[in-house]
Amino acid sequence: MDQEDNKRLQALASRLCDGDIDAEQLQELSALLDQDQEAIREYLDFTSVHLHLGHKLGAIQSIESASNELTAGQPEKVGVAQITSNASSNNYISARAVMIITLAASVIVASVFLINRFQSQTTFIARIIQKIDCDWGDQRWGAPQTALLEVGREIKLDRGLMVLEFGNGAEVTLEAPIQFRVLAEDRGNLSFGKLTANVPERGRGFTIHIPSGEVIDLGTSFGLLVDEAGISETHVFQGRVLLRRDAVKQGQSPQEWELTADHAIRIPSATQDVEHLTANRSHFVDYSHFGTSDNAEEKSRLAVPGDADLVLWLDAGRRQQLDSKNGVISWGDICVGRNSSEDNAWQIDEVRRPHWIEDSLAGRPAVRFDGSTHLVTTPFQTGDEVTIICVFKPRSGEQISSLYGKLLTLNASPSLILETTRNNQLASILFLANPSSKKKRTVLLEGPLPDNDLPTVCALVYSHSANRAALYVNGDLVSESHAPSIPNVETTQIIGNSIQGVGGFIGDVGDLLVFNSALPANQATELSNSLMEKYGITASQREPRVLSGLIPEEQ
Amino acid sequence: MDASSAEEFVRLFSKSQHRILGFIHTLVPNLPEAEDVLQETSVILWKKWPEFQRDRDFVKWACGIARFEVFRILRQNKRNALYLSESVLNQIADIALNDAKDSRRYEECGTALTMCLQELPDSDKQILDLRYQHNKTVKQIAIESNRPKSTIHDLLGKIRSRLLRCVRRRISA
Repeated sequence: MDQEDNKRLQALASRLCDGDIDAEQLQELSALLDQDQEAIREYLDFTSVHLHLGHKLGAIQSIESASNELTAGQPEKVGVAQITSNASSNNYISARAVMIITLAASVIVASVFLINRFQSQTTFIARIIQKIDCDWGDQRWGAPQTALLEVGREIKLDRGLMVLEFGNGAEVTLEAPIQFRVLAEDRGNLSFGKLTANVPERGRGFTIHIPSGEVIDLGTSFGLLVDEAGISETHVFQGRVLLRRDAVKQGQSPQEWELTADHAIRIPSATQDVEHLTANRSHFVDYSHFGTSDNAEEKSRLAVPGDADLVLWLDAGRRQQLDSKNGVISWGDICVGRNSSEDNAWQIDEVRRPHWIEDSLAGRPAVRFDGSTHLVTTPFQTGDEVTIICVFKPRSGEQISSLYGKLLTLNASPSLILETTRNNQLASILFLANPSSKKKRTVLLEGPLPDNDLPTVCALVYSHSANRAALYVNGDLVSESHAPSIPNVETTQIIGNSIQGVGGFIGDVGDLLVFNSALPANQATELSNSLMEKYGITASQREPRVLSGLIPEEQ
Repeated sequence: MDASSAEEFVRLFSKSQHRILGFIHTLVPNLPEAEDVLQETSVILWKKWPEFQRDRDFVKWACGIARFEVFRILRQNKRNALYLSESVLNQIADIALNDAKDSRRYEECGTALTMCLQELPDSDKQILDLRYQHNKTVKQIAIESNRPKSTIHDLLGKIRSRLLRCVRRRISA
């Protein structure tokens, strides 16, 4: 970078720091920084001056002093009011800083609450904490930026799940189609639809109004269903709830039932008697179903490299949420090492759910896809340094008659696809679907699958920086190719099909791991070997392999 | 979660929040926006705290989560705000994540900057006071000082460049 470029970079970075830069200038700055480590270092140093100035002269300094006071003092003596008051006494502090300190303090006060088990003051009525393939706002996934819900806010959904957190700590999963209204920090109204509620101890008394009465939590987890005729069912999964039915006739008293775990009550209509049922968890989708991921033992048995950037690990033996027909509603990501966020895979649409099979791959469970079923992960980021490890078995006959069987589709466009093909091959494809041009399908890697009835462990290692893609089958390298650039984007990833829903996989999947790094060959084969051991594939059962030496072709 | 675990979170977060903000700031240089991201991130960190493995570096863990939060927010704001390209931000994040581990360098910069500020002429100090202490925008400073906005941009850019040169000189000495 020459002196002129450096000067220009600083001028543009300075404008960016002041929040006053136009699109053209940003583009220019991006171009100056792109693929230039020296320029990025210069940018980082320059912007750090701005940050330090903020610390030394402005509002951020006050966070530091407030924070020091908090940590120095006894936790139980510290409160938001005290901090805000201290901040206000400072003449030059901005209103913004007061807000930040208050919010920062609220986290710490929340900690103090946990330490002392005190009742905490809530700061919001309800907020959206997650959306799963949901038709609310611009984005179908994730928590929206404007997540706070005011009293009286009505939520109507036709598709997907929405997870709300109420001010009293109750977590409620709304399942479309649904009509729900937020009434207060400790109550809501379900006009029709399905929900599940998980209420912590401090939220005891959380209430959902239904057309025929109300359901009051007594420390529990429960599901509620109301159809369009107002017929309701209350299912208790854990703890107890109080179901109160409004008086049917004037002069009558309301009826009450205390339901315990595994009990359910159906209120058919205003005049009919209630029906007592067994609670059925599989009728409801529950975002919090998974609980905490505990994988230390499995990690030690599988050779998962601790320093690799694992972003997704699905194991058919663990963490599924199934419907009453064993359809997979969700498949939970096992968090381990750097994989600290759960990128669970979901299928909200009942008819598109793959099925969980208890005894499939060498006696182990698997998720079975039929060519049209698939799962979609919550969005996560992948790019052109990636490793996919998958244990699978195509269903002989059915998959062979299909042209393609897409096991995994990563990224939007171009997509990196791992698929089986009609002639019993395994292939890796780059697929570009540009609306302004023809679709382009590039076969990068291809190798034969073993001709036996055992599951297969495949590993696709893709590294644009090394310009090498490699495909391993049961630990053996079967194909190599160059690796074109793929933009690093955060998006949903599709298991068992393509984005277009064409050429779905027919067969069973046992384990699926995705790393945001290209594993070295020894790590890829070690991990393959440990998965082979897990699924009873011994070295002697390996098919002899011949490296295909494929030259990529465009079709 | 037991009391000692919650205390540990408070301690680590309090100790590290400037470095986490420093990392966020590399991707979102506008301070109010960076502070917003820190707020959002602090809530997520608290929620994810039970998953934190004690043998890991807290700042690195927190910055990894902050990185995802930044990208999530940037994508949501895409229509209303202007940011560097995602590809460039990723390159910046990779380098900044490494730097975030180096608390010594961060402290050295802060100390050097304190001394460098004393070397500034009063007119430059006044501009910085308006911008940082009184939290004025460039436009507001331009109106109050009856000068074109572009002049204020140039001035702030030059003052920051001068401070950067001074900081580097002091650190290398």
